Amino acid sequence: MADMAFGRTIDVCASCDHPSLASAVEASIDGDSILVHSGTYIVQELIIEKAITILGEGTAVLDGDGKTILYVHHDNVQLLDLTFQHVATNYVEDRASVKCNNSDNLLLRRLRVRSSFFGLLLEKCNDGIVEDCDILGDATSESYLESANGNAIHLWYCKRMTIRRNTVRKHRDGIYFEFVENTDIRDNRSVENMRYGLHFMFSHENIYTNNTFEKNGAGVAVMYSDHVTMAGNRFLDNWGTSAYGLLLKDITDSHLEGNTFRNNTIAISADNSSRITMRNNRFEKNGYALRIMGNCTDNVIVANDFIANSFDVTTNSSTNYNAFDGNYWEEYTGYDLDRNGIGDVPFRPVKLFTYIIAQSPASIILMRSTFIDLLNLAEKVTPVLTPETLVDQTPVMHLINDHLTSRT
Amino acid sequence: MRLTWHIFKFVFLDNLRSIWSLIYALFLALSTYALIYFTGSFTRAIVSIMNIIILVAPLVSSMMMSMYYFNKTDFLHLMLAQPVRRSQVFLGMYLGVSITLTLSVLVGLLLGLLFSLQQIDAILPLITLMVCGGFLSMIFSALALLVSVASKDKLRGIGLTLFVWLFMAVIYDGLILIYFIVFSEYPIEQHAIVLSLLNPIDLSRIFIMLQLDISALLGYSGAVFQKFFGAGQGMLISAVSLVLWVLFPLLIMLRVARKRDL
Repeated sequence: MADMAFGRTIDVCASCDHPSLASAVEASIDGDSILVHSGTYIVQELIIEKAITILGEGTAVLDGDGKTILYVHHDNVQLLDLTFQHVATNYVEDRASVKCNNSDNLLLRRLRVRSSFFGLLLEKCNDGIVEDCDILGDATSESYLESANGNAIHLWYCKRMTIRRNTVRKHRDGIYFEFVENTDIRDNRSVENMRYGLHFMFSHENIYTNNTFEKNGAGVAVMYSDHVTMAGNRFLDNWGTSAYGLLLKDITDSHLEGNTFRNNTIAISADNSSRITMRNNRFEKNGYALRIMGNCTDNVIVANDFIANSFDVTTNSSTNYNAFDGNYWEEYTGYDLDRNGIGDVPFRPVKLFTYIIAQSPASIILMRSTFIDLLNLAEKVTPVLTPETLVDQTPVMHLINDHLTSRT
Repeated sequence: MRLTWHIFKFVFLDNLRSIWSLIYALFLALSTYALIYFTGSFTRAIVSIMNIIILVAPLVSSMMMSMYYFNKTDFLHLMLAQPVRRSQVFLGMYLGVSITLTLSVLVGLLLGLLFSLQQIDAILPLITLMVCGGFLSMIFSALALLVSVASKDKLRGIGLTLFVWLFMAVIYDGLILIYFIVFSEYPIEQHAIVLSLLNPIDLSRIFIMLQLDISALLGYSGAVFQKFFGAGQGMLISAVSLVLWVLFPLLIMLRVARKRDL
């Protein structure tokens, strides 16, 4: 990085020596900076194979007119303060505003991307930073064709990246990772994407902190990964017949801590996931707060708040290998005679009806019927069908994670 | 028709003056107000009010109709001794009672809502609630009158009326639940729709539930129901089904009344 400070600065503008970015890149050598002045430039499939910095001044707009705009094929490239637009949908190649391949130590900062098929597409890039970018796609709830839109930030085979303070909206997936490891994802906002706000597979040891995933078509889905940490994230308003706050599929040895789940159809749906610790999360006004399948084992659910959910916990199995301990359940009707803040009778969060729905989905038509209420009551008194070990022996009487309320 | 009108007017005013109509309306008003006030969330309050309406309206309607019929046997005998058509007398009696009951439900709900105007954020579920409440009153008073006219004595009549209510409100759901569980391997969403059309209480419940946004909870099955009940055709079919639920018992009742030795 040090020799870059001694590089020249090459200006790009209509009246400059270099009226196009392509000729400026051609003229540059490693360590140079290219300053793109305000204006709109048509840039198509420009390949960067030098360690240069491209800076935008004012509103420097790079217009792809349908094609991929920049290919980065070199380490230590920096792109700052640029606007990218008009990269068309293509079913043969993944066109993107910036497509990086085998480039380490990238820096993508304050990039604006508009109407782009894929936004930023990074393949086999390590140790890079993507920050403060604003990516807005064209996907609307009416455009039902998922394949017509790409992902906003798409990483494939990357390691040790930092993705922070980005806003991604209206793409297929907001943030998409495949084979991405040891990456830090924080303070991002992923909103109104068609499919998932965050979607990753085979991506281990990543840390997600303080991100917001809001109003995405299907919420957040994470699969086939281990040692994932998610802390302080907000999963909000992912509402619809197939929407999840957080869908965990084959996730192991992970931590979920201090997250807020509000207004999701299913806040957390866990399938074949093991050894996950869910601690100090807040589940509020969800349809189902926690759907935990029978193939999930050794998960620990402690000190969470369950407030105003239609169903707190549901499962499809009559056995349970997960530990529920010391949570606050709004539906708890027990008492606390010794005033130690812990209820004296255990709480069983699975209602008989949720168990029946898992067996026969059509029976949901009976929701809120008197007969079902009677059944639930009978089951509550003497559990027969619901998992006997799915029980919170020490239900807490008062809200635990009050600090999560004020944040939106 | 003149006679029907006269009897209707008499029964209607008789009922309107009765303390029970007032108590019924006040009970609904109070519980509506209290539920909205205490639950805080409007959607949750609507669900609770719905639970009250679909349970209480049929029960009260059945009981009031049945009691009224059996308490007014002397009046009926006196009327029928005149050269009048039986169907006109019974129709007048049915309309008098059922319209008072419907009014009580509507007035009760409106009164309760009027006192909690600032919490209301959706009008459509409320309208559905009122329409369903009204229909349930009409349907169950028709059923109760049919059962009462067909029964030999007061005890059996009221007992049977109670059973009809219990069957519709509770037992029916148990039976279809068994059906769902037995056939859970098959796509039975269509059957669920048909089965719900056969029970006015279930129909009302589903109708109101689909107005609220908990419908997304219902998953795939919910999407099927939403498609049916949400679309114009489904709405029409359900509305027709409710109307038929009033007309059918009523016509049978008139038929039974004409033939029976009172």
